[in-house]
Amino acid sequence: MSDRWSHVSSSPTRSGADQGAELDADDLFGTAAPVAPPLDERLRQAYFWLVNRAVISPFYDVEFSRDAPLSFELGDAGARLELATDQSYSSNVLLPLLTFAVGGRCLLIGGPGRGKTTLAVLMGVLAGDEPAAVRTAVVQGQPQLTVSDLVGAPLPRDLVEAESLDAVRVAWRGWLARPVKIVDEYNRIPTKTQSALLTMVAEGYVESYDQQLRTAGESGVDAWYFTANDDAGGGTFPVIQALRDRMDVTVAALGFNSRFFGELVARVERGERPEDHVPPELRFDAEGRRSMAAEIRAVPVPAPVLRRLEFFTSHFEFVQHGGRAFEYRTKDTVATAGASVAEVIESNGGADLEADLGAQTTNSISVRALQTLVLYAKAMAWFRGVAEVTHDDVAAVLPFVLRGKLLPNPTHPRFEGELDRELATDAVAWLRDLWRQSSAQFATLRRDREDPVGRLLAEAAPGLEGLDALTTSRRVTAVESAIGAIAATGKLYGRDYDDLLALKYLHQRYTNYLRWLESSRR
Amino acid sequence: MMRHPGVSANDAGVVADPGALPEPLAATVERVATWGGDVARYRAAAAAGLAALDAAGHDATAATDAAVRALGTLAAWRSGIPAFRRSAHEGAGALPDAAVAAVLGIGVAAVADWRAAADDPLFWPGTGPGDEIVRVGGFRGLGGAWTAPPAQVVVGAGEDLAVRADGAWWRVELDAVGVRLHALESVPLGADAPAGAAHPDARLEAAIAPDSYLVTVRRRA
Repeated sequence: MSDRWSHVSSSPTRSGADQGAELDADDLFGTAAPVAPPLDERLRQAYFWLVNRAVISPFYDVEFSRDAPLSFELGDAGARLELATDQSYSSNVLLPLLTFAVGGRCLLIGGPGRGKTTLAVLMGVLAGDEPAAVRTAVVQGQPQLTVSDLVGAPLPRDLVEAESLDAVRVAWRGWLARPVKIVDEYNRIPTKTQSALLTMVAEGYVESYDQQLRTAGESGVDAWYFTANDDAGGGTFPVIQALRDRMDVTVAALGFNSRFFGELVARVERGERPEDHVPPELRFDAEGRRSMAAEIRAVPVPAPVLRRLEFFTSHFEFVQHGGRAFEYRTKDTVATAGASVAEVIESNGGADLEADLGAQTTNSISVRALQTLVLYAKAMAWFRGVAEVTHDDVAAVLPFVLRGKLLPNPTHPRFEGELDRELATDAVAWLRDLWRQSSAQFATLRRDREDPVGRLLAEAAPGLEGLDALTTSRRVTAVESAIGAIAATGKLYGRDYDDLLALKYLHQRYTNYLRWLESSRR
Repeated sequence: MMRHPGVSANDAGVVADPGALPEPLAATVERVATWGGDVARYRAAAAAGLAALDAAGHDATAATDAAVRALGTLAAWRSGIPAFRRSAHEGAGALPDAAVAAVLGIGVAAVADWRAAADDPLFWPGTGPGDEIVRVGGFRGLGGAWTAPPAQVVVGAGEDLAVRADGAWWRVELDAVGVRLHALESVPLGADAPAGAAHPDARLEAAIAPDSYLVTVRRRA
C-alpha cells in the first residue's frame, strides 16, 4: 500500500478535545503506552482520510464558528463567502459517515459521475468488508429488477419436494447480510420491487416463501445508501412515498473542484481506486459499530435545545381554515381531503406570512423525521467531541434530515421575491434559514425565558395523586388564564397551536380529576 | 486556541531559534507545535539546557536519559504550554540548577524560588503582586483571537478568568509562561456582577479598554 493513501494523521483531529488535560514527558516523547483512540476520534480520522485522500471534497458547507466568521461579499448578486472559525465539514462526506455511525439510511443525489457510489462503497469498506465484496454487493437499480433479484430465490428442489411453504428454503442474496447496503439508482426500480425494499428498510427483515431473514447482521447496526440522479421525482419509476420517507438524510454529491485535477491525473495513471486503499486502522468491526451507535444515543439533549426544537416543530402543523374543529385545523386535514394546502394558506387573507413560518411549507414534520433529527444531532455532537447536543449541532444536520420531508409552499411570496429567489431551488439553504428564522423568533418572543405552558406541563408531570380540590381549581384557573393570554393577542400561529392543545389536555386532566374528587366526597 | 500576544515572562526579548535539536528532542518539536507551543522558544530553551548539561559533563544523547526527558518537559512548558507545568516542576527535580536556569532563561540564583513555588501557577522570578502577567487576545487580523475588542471580563476565584469577545464567552487558562483560550458553552458565574467587581478569592486583576483587542492580566495587588 503506498504512503499516498495510507497516511492517517497521528495528531488529534480536533484540537480542544484535550482541553484542561495535563501533559507529561511520555506525551512529549511519544513513549506513553499506545492507547486506541476513542471511537469519535477514529470516525474523525476516517472523515479526514475520506475528504483529503479518497473523494477529494474540499467543501466546508457544514459550518461551525466559535466567534464571528469573516465574511466576503462577492459579485453583485448577493453571493457571500464565509470563513468559519471552528472545524467545519463537507456535507457529502459527513452525512454519509454519520449514517454509517448511527446505522441510518442515506440518499445520495446528484448527476452521474459525482462519486456517489464510490462514497457508498467506501462506507462498506469502513465496515470491514473487502472492496471487491462491497462492489459485488451493490444492487444496481434497473427497470427489470424483480423481488427475486433483490432478495434471492427458493431452492428449486424444495419447490418440488416441500409439503408446505415454510419448508421451502430460500437462497438469500449475499448483500442482505452486509453491514452496509448499497442500492444504486433506486428510482429506476419497479414499484413492486420498491415495496419489497421498503419492508427491509422499514422493518429490518426480508420475507420470502414464509421465510424471514434479519438484515441488521451481527452488529445490529446496518447502514443503507441509496443513490439517485435527482430528488424531484425523476427516474424510470416514481419512488413510493413511504420508501422516500424512510431516507433519514438526503445529501447532494458536490461537484469536482478543478483545482484538484492533478489528483485525478495521478489516479488515471496509476489505475487506483480509493476503496482499495482504506487504511486498516480506519475500519470498524461489529463491536466498534455497536459501541459507536450506543455512544451516540447516549449523548444528552439539554432542555434549552429541546425547547428550541419544540418551538421549531410547532410552526408547521397548523393551518388556519384547514378544518372547522380546532384540533383539525391542520395541513394533514387538508391534504388527506385531497385539497391544496397552498390554496388554503393563501385563502387566509388576515395572516402575516412573514411571521407565520408555517405558511412556508405545505406539510408538517413527521414523528419519524423528528426522531431522525434528534439522532443525527446527537451524532453530530458526538462526532465533534462535545458533551451534549448544542443548537449548532441541530442547525448543522436539520437541512439534510428535513430535505424532501418538509416541503416548501411554492406560492409563498418568499419564493417569488427578488431577495430569496434562490431558496426555491436550494432546499438546504431554505431549511437552514427556516431554523434561523425560528430561532430568531424564539429569542424575540423571549420563549427561552418565559414558558408558562412549559411550567404548567411540568407542574402536572409528577401526577395529580394527592392534590386537593383547591389546588386543582387554582391550576384549572391558571390553564384558562394561559389560554386567555394567547387569545388576547388576536392572532393565531402554529407556534401557539400546540401550546393551546397542550393546555386543553391539562384542562381535561384537572377537571376530570376535580370531578372525581367531588364525586368521592359525596 | 493558543495565542501568544504577550507573556511577561518573555519580555526579555525575542529568542533566536537555534535550529534542529539532537534526537530524541528533535522528534518532539512537532508535538510541541501541535499543542500550540512557541517552537523557536522551545528549541532555544532545550538547546540552552543541553549546553548547560554538557558543561556539567552530562551525556545528553541517550534516548532514555531521564535528564533529557526532564529538560524537554521543562522546555515545553517554557514554550508556552501550561499543561506541562506540573510535570515540568517534577522533572526539574532531577536537573541541576544551571540547566533549569538555562531552560527557563532566569538567573541561577532564582531557581530555588522557582522550585519552591511549584504550587503557584502565577509565580515568575522577579515578579510580585500588581505585576502584569500576560496580555490575552489580540486582533485576529494580526494573528490574535478576536475581531472586536473584548466587551467584558469576569474574574473568579483563584486564577479563574473569563472574557466576552465577539459575542461569545471564553475561559482563559493561564500561568506564568503561557495562556490558552477555551470557548465556553454558557455564561460564566459572576457575569451579571457590576463592572470591576472581583471575587474575594481572586488572584488576578483583568483590564480591558474600548480601543484595544487585548485583556491585560495582572497579579492582584
